[in-house]
Amino acid sequence: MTNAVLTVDGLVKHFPIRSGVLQRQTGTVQAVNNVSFEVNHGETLSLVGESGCGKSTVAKSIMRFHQPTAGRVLLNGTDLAGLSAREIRTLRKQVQFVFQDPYASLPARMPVGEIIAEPLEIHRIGNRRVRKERVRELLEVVGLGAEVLNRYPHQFSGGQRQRVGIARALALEPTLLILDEPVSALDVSIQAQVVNLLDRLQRELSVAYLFISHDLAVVRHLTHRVAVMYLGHIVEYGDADEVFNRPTHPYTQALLSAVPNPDPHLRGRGHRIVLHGDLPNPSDPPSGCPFRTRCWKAQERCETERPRLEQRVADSGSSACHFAEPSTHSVSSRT
Amino acid sequence: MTAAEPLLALRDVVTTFRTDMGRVPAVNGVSYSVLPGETVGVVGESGSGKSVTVTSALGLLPHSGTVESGQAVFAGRDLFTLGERELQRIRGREIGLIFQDPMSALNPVMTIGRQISEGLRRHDRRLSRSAARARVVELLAEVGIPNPAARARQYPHEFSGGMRQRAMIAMAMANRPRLLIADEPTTALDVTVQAQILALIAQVQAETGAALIMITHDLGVIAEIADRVVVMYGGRVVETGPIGSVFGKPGHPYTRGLLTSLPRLDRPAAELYAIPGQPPNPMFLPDGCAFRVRCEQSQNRVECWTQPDLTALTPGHASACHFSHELAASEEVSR
Repeated sequence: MTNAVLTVDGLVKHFPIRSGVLQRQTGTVQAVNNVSFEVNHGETLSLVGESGCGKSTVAKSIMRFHQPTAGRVLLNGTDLAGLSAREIRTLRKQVQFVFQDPYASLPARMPVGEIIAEPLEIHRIGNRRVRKERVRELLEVVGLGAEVLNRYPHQFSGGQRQRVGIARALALEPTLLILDEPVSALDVSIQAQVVNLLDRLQRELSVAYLFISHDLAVVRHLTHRVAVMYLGHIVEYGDADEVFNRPTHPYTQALLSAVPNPDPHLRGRGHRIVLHGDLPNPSDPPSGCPFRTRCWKAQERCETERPRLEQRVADSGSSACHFAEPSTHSVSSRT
Repeated sequence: MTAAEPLLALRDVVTTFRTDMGRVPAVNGVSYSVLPGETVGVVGESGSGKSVTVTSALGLLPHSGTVESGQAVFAGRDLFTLGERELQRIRGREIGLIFQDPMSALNPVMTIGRQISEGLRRHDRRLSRSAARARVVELLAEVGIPNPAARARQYPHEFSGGMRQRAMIAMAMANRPRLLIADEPTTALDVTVQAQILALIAQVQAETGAALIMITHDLGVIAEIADRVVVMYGGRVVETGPIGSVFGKPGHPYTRGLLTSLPRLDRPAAELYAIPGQPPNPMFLPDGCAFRVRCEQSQNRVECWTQPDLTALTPGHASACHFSHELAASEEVSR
């Protein structure tokens, strides 16, 4: 508790579905259901899962882009709800956001120097001279030189823009960065550069990351802890080694087995679990376990009783499966 | 290697685009071929020319693009010499196409069934409407779409991403083509859905014996499915050969750099190797070897200022690097 930069406790976010001329509520999309986790100081927690699992909704609820339906979000131990607008603003400095698309997330008509200085101006930090100095420093930190100060975003490549976005996010010395698919839009050779940058920044600045990604190999590389989400629920949660090497939830096992391995000699060596069917509709989720409709282990119990997220197997993370057990074909044994 | 006649042979294809800043070379003399039934993976980053090469061959370039020279011989006919009507007959009947975004390739105001049956009837005038309809249901069932008869009456927006990609594969396979060309078919999909689609493509190929050109930036996907691989950089082929040999003993510093820069589930390393710099802008390609400015093997040696030819390292495995033998030697040392 004392070490947590971010505590998310029982977060629920439902979106109403409205239809007809009167826009009456006709249903509810259960985007996030009872999600709890902590991000510790200087550490990375990753939320992984596929489209529609709710991982980005969690991030947006933390930033209060929309109001959570239930649950608490604590920043450095302080609950955001019930604070005045001014207090929220002060607290918000500590959390910054880096988006997936470095093309859409930077203002097009502003030179890079001003883009990075803007948060400092908004929060009235330093005078012009101090801010200018800080911007130079930040560009240095993310591996861009001061010579780019007067350039516009369109003059940069995708990787460089992402560096600008990271520099801007770091301007207020946040204790937490929320990174939503930060390398997904980048070319393979550029992705490694940005992953290494994030890694180095965390070590140098001891900033915590909430890392949201569908790319499991990138997550494996950067994360300390990981939460696997499916249909708005965390289904497995633990240290990176526990979840990646000894997954016990069938969905995590299927997810990991589906990642293609770039070594052709391993072709056909790993056991690939191909899931059947589609993700259920989040406005009409299955009763009991959300994964049961696609799970090869599902029994009657899974229909009636939602499995709790708890540690069920020694040396593994917490798993929300009644039949949690280590996979007989673990990913690490494929080497 | 058997002396089988290639199904498609691209020879010295050169394609340029007209822009405000003059003609920009996109493809600079690309040659590769596909044997009947074979799977060739084409990898490269944005701007490498991997997609433009095949759109040139298929006569699907946008208006600003021109094929300047070269041949694209498909089953004995040079596609560059054919008129639009003949090309249309080949596309869809003899060559099936699968794109990244099925939403843009499908007509949003026509039911899925209607679109597939039109494709069938366009290439087989004797097919009756009801026979076409029955065949559509059969095809949808073959690609694993549940309730095919009901699904055929639905519109593309009523399908999930994975189901849309299945429908597109059904459409591409409708006339039992001898060659399938798939351009980033799984890039927009989640990893478990990607696994489903790759399994489906393999199954369809096994059933029909069609050859496949798989264009992707994902080295993992290539390693899983390709027999041979073509690596493109700056509008040229820089390396080509059997998958095991190219990925196992890369003969070009770019290929080696790409492979070592990948984060891997089974090998979480402390730091990723990152190729310095960025993929080249086709408008400002470096003289000589386009990779020269990012290459750690080159070290500014004078040879790299002349364009290296593709030279055989072992039978079937060729690399366009003046120092590929050096690279092979250093590889031995590092093992």
